[in-house]
Parts: sequence; structure tokens; C-alpha cells
Amino acid sequence: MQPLEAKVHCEQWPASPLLKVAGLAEFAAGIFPPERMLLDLRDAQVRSAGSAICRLPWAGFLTDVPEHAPLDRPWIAVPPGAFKIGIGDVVELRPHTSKAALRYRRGSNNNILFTTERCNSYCLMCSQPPREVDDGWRVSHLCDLIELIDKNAPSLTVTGGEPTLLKENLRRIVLHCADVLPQTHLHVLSNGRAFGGGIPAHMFEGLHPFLTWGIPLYGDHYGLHDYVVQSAGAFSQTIRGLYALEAAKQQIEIRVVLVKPVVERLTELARFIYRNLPFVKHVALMGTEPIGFARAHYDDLWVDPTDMAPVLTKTVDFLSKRSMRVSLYNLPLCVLPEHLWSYSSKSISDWKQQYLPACEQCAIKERCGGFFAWATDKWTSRTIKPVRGALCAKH
Amino acid sequence: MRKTLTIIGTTLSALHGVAHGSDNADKASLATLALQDSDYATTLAAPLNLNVRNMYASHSSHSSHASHASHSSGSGTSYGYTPAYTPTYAPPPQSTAPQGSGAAATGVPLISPTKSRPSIDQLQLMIMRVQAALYARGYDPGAIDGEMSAKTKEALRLFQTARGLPANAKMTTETLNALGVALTP
Repeated sequence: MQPLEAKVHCEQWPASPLLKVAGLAEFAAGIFPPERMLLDLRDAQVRSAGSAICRLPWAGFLTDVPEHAPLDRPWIAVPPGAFKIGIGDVVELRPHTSKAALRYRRGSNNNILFTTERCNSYCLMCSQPPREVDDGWRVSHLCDLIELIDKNAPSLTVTGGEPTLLKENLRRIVLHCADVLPQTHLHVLSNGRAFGGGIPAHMFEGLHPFLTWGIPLYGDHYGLHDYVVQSAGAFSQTIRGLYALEAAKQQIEIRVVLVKPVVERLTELARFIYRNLPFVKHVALMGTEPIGFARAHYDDLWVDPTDMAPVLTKTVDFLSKRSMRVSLYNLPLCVLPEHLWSYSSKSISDWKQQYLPACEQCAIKERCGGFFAWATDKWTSRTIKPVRGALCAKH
Repeated sequence: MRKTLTIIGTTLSALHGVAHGSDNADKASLATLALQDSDYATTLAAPLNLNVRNMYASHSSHSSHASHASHSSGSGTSYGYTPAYTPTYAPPPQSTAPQGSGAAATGVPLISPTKSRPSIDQLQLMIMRVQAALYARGYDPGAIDGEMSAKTKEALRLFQTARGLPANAKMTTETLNALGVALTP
């Protein structure tokens, strides 16, 4: 696991800036203005390039040796082991607390645009428990961040909290992405309730060339769904929201978190999705992330993935036979029947992903998504074991 | 386009599969997955500098500009660099359509330069960026100082030759594209 926030040494900074780390290639490209970049003096090529480059109006310098920074110019020094920050990354610096946070990591498999801490649901297994705070400042902050993200970034996840609580401002963010990052796929994680009344889904119609929505659905019945999200009326709002999004020609993914009450009716849920929501582009069946509320509700939520195998096989086969795309997220391969491996994705974000000691001997470790860094023994499975090479030869 | 390629690739591999006779079903399901994936794929089609006028292309020698006579080169204590960029975010107008639908398709230049000749600072910065790009790619442009020196020209020529471009030591749009140097901002 890699920390995304750390104490740093910084001097001469006037405000709380968002900064992109620049090497020679970033300077040469000229896509981002020097005023919004940190020149990386840790880079040997930058240091050997001569002093004329340092005289450009960089926002500041990133260095291990503060004496290397030009006199009277702002600089940041990251203590060894604090966090990994590399060329192309975007960092938010808070000079008054001497803290820095990574907001974009070049080459990461999951960069996020965090819209708000607020949420209108209160899910049993929420990994990011909501807070009722006024964080409207994030909108302009995100628009600034979007401008510093690599133009060839393959995808960004818009998340929270509940992004649709931003209403018109969510549209602004999506539109800004379409303008500034027209080639970057945008995946918005929302409960979709707002589109079931409140805000019109068609305000997103034709807004962005690569926009998809990830909407959770936890049951084929309102009682089950409303229980899991701890909000009366949520099922009916989400279902109406899904139809509204479909009417607005949006691409939809259904996300199902595999907690105990959901697993108990998973095949019924698959049938419900096939009959009533045949237009969804993808169904993701996801292992629980053992953090936030999930940890407090272990006894009510936990099913060992080994015990899910029969129902997972049935559900995956049901959907895929009917040409509905289905994937398995956050489940290690060794606890799944081999038949399901091809549906499994390496879905855990790189910075919070780990392998267990048992994985060292495994022949298919590279194909496996491993575990959340915060998974303790009781959140893994009783059948974790290295897969032998012979098994894997068939694939 | 991506879809067409996938279909062609699939057909070819299917033909190949007939010869082997085995695991055709696997291949078919892989092909289906690849096809579905293409819905989510992004295609980087456009070169870096598309529909942008290059006012640096004709520049061959630093001393050829009369306007440079008064410019003291090399020592460079101050740059007088003026940012062409406004960092504050302004909400876009309501009517803005997603990019790629309008201007680019009809071939109308997206950016019309107000000047046809760069200012000294702009030119110096552009040369520095070209020098940095050459240096980052292992060429030796001499000092990265914004001077179109003999060494820089030689490095440009070597780079152009290696890329199969006309070796004219000029900052043509093709050369800038190959170097990853954008003409804007």
C-alpha cells in the first residue's frame, strides 16, 4: 500500500496550489504552463539540462536537496518513504500544515475525481462513510485538477459521496472533462436516485463522448435494496433513475456488492436485471471492501467467497448466456472456480492493493487482483492457497 | 474503426483456428469480449498539432531576424516571459458541444493565431522546448538556452533523419509532432 498524503517540507509558498510535476518532456511538450508546474530537480536529466530552465516561471521546485532550488523560489522536499511522487503526477500542497496530497498519479489504474463527502444513502458496507459537510469548494478545485491531468489518461472515476448531489455542478465537471480531456473515459459512481425525481437525466445527454454510469442495485425487491442502502424509497428512485438514464442514452453498469443478504438472492437479482434492465452494458459483481461501515457490520455482511462459488457460477452463467456482460471484482482467483477466472478483473486500485504471503508461490499471481491492503484474515477466505502451474497451463 | 480492426483480427484468428481445429470456442468468446471492450476503448487519432498554424516553421537561424539584433543572448538574467494562460476556471457557456463534433470534422482551424511571427520570448521558449525534447531523447543540442545554435541544428537534423523527415533543421509541424512539442499555449 502506498500512502497518498504525507508531511513534506515546503517553503515560500503563497497559497494552496495544485501542481503538476514536470520533467524535461513536460516542459518540451508545453501542454501545461510552467506557472502550474513543479520542476522535478530530483530527475538527473533535469539537473543536467542547465540553469536556463530553472529561470522559467515555474510555480516551484521538487527536490531532495533544498539548496538545489533557486534562491527565493518556492520548493517542496518529500521526506524519504513519505510517498511516491513522480513526473506527471498532480499534487495538492497545503503550506500552512506542511502537507501534500497526491490528486493524480500518472499510469495508475484508478484515478478519481472526488466530488463530495455527502450522500443520500447510508449503505451497510459503505467504504467511504458520508459526512454532512459543505464541500462545494471541491467543484472549482476539481476543474483545476482536470486541467492538469495527462491528455492521454485512459480513464477517470467520478466518485464521492454521491456525485449527483452536486446537481448542475456535476454537469459542469463532466463538460469540463469533455472539453479538456476529450479522450478520457469517465465513469461516474452514483446511486442514481437523483434521476428518479429531482434532477433530469437528459442534462447529461450528448455531453461527453465516453461517459458511463456505475449504479448499484442490491436486490430484486425494494425491501432488500432499501435495507442494504439504509434508506426507505431508494429502490424505487434508483429503478426510475435507471430508466431515466437509459432514456437519456446513457451507458449504464450495474454494480452489486456481494454482502450476505444480497448473495442470498443473487440469482433472483440477475433475473430481475435481465428482465427489467436488459439495456445495461455491464454487470459487476464485487467483493466487499473491508473498511468503513463494512468493518462494523462484519457479522451481517460477510460470506466467505468460497461459499459463494455455486451462486456466483449460476449468476455469471445466467447473464453471460443471455449476452449480458458480467465481471467479478475484488475476489482472488484461488477462491473462485476456474470456470469463472476469465470473468475476474484486477479491480483493486494499485495504491491499496496487496498480495498475501501465500501468493508468493502462486502461478497465476500476475492475473489475480489480490487483496485490499486493509483486509485482515477474517476478510479474505479460508481457502486462500497458491495455484499450481499445471492448472494454469490450460489458460 | 477500432471495431473494424477487431472484426478483421477475429476473422483472421478464426481462420487460423480452423487449421488447428481446437479451442475455437475459447477464441470466439475472447473475440466477443474484445468486441465488447471496444465500446469502452479510446482512440488517439489526432497528432499533437492539428489545425494549428506553425509560426516557428520558417525559423532557421537565430541571427536571421533583424529584431534579434538588440537581444543579448546567453547571459539571460531575466526572461520577461509572459504567460499566455489564465489559471482561473471559468464555467463554460451552456451551448458548448462536446469536442470533436464540429470544427475538427469540417477542417476549420481550431486556433487562429493573431500573429504570424513569434515574439522573441515566444521563439526563445519554443527553441528551449525543442532543445529539451531533443536532450530528453538522447540528442545533444548543446546548452538548453533558447539559442538556435549550430549544435541544436545538428541535433535537429539527426533527429529528423532518424524519423525519416526532411533534414532541414527547421521546427516544422511534423518535427514538433515527432518531438512531442505542442504549438499551444
